[in-house]
Amino acid sequence: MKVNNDIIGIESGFARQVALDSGVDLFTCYQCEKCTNGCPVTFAMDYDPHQIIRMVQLGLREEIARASTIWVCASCETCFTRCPHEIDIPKLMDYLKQSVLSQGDKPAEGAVAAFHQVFLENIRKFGRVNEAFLMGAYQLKSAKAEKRIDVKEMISNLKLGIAMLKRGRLGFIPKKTGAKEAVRKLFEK
Amino acid sequence: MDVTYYPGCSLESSARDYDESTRAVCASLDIHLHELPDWTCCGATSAHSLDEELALTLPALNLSGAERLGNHMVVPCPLCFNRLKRAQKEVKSSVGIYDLASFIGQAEWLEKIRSRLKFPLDPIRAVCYYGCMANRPPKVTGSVDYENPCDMDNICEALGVDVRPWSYKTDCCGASFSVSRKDIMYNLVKKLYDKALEAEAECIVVSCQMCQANLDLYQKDISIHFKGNYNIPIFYFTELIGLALGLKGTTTWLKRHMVDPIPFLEKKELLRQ
Repeated sequence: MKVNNDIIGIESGFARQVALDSGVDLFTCYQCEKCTNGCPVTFAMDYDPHQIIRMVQLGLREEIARASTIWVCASCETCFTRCPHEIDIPKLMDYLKQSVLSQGDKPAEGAVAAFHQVFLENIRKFGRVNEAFLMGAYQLKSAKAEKRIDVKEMISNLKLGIAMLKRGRLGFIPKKTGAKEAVRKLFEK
Repeated sequence: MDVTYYPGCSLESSARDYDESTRAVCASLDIHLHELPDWTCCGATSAHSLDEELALTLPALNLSGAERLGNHMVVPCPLCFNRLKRAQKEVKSSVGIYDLASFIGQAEWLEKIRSRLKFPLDPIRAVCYYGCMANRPPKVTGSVDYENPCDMDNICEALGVDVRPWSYKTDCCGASFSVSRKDIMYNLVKKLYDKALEAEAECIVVSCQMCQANLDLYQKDISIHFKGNYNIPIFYFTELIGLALGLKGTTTWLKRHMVDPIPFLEKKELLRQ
């Protein structure tokens, strides 16, 4: 029998803090695993959704901060829809993503975090998302985040961009909205 | 009927075919679309992932304008619909917000569609694929049949389509990962292709442009990746309505697809333009 003798840090109070800050009542989870059974992306996760909840309950803050799971959650809402206690798991995943970033930890999925950051920056600039600018900005940022340039990926995206342009499905010129300034104000804290 | 129209960012570029077909279909059904002036981005997935406040304020910014117009607001993009509905509930706005497929799936429009049907689509065998956001979570969307939605099925049946039942109507396509974690999306989409074919469908009908993009734009790459040979046209339900009602411009929308549906439709003798 393999015994895990690693010392794991347990933070008391972490679960309560997460529950209060996120507004998600995770204490009622009794590990029925319905969430994990309906989740479409468990194949790409390091911890299953029900395990993440258990980890929060146990105060395993550091393990959670390093997890891919919270970034790989597709926000499909299947878990929340089926949970017998109506625990808002997607909201918890969002809260944990935000915690990782606000605490200055490195997200386990740099490309995913980079995409979201670039997307928001695009909204802040234009008021609406300009897909062509979005892709360009993302290529740059993810290359920086992952510290490498995926040439194959870039060429593939370029080919796709051209194919879409040919079909009139790529707009380069940002569409105008009169409420651009109003959007920008929302980003000011 | 006058309704407010919130297209969402994708419909201005990558989902131009959805926008064009939606406008044409609504016009033909006497649903007068009034685009919400100066609408702004709903925040999509990225806002709720990174910033709880923006996740609310971005969609909420659109609500007062919609309230001023006074009509129901119809939203073709289910993600925008979902974010706008959440904002509406949070700020207690009076605007009635409807997902496009659920709106057109109402009895009144089905009746109109049946009465204006010119070219029944019965040679087509299809499955209807709804994706996540139009129905989940039911607390937000108000959806009753969230495990087995039928709006698109009903619309397609009204058009004469041979609609196949299948168990994957609302399985996630991996929308937000088509850029950042393509491998995840590939796996999810391959499953959808396989299950659609298992249900003996020849094509997939969608009401979400993120789903359409993932199922259409990457089909060739997914085929190569998994050493398969998928050739499954991905139709917007609005395009099928256009086809069946003989609406002008249908071929224009269809030609925007990556997986060319024209040969498929020509073989079925369903292209009359």
